Amino acid sequence: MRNAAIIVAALIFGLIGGLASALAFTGLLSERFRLGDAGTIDRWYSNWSIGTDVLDPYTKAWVSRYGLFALRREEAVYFNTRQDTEGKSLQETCTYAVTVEDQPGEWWSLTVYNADGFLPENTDDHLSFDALKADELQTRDVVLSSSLPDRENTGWISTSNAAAFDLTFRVYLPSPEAIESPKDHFRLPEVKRLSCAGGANP
Amino acid sequence: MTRILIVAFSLFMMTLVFSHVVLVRITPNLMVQIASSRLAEIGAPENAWYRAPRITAENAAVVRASPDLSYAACLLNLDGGPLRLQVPAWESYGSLSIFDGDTTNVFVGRLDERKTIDLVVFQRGQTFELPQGVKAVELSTKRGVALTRHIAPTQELFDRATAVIEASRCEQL
Repeated sequence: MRNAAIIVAALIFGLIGGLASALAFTGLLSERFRLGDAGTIDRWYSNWSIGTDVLDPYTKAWVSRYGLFALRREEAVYFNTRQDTEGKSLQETCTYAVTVEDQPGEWWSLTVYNADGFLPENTDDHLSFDALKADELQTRDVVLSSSLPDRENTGWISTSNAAAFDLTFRVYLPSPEAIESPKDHFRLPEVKRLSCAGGANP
Repeated sequence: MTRILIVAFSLFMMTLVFSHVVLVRITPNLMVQIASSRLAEIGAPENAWYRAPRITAENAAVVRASPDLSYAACLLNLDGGPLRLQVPAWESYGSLSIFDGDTTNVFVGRLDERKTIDLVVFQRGQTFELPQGVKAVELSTKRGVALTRHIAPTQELFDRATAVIEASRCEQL
């Protein structure tokens, strides 16, 4: 009886250990555990394995969680950040200014997501800013805030209900040179903190 | 007692390694199944194009969906044989991507090259006559997902992209 209990316990702990280690090794427990060909440019993180034919099963599992159905990098590259220029986490309670420079691609867009990677639940219809809107407004300046900014001649991304958020910057049809040597070609936007509600300094 | 501990430890290690490897291997398939289920829940049928509404926080079925793009999906099911996919050209950047059941991107084509993309999607072992000028794309699984993306950050562009999808095909060959 005692021997049977030991065997059953070994099987149960083995199963739990196997599943937990698989979740951890593939980054499924936390987005902060990153696999693949990862790189950072000016606080913007990218994973060059997304959009490639990944063979390693761990990276393939990670990419299926964080880059499912992503385009090949010849079609689009993705950068994410959750920090401002001072390294502080991006918060809905703060207001930020961003200026997007020329990019080595045919079209770009900047989009806000909540901590789970989904769009924040608000009805402001301003969850992103892109090259077409920039042309229309004739500015590449954009303010990130939870309510409509009182600035003139600027784009707006609403962070209402975003809590601690992150940003995704997409560049479509990047040049071959930029794919080959990203750090030399992409000029990723700085996210400057302007103020925080109640003077908070998260 | 020592013997039973050795046996238990061996079983522990075997179970640990086996469950670890199985979960790592099936994760991509699980992710595709979850995404396909979410798409089916919001109305995407099999073997027909589903035009997603403009992306909002309420209707995004996958993480990091872009509100600047018009998406359409066709849930591929090859049980009844190969499928014919056609997507007309688009005025700006757009793409057609096909993923098999384990997330492998087996095809990508640009829609801004003034030419309709015309494909037959099949699984190895399926026989069919390939129409002239049509490209054949092989899936490693019987299920897969075809996705189109059109740059459409305004309602006007979104409506035009919708018309392109209405003129597209995803159906039994």
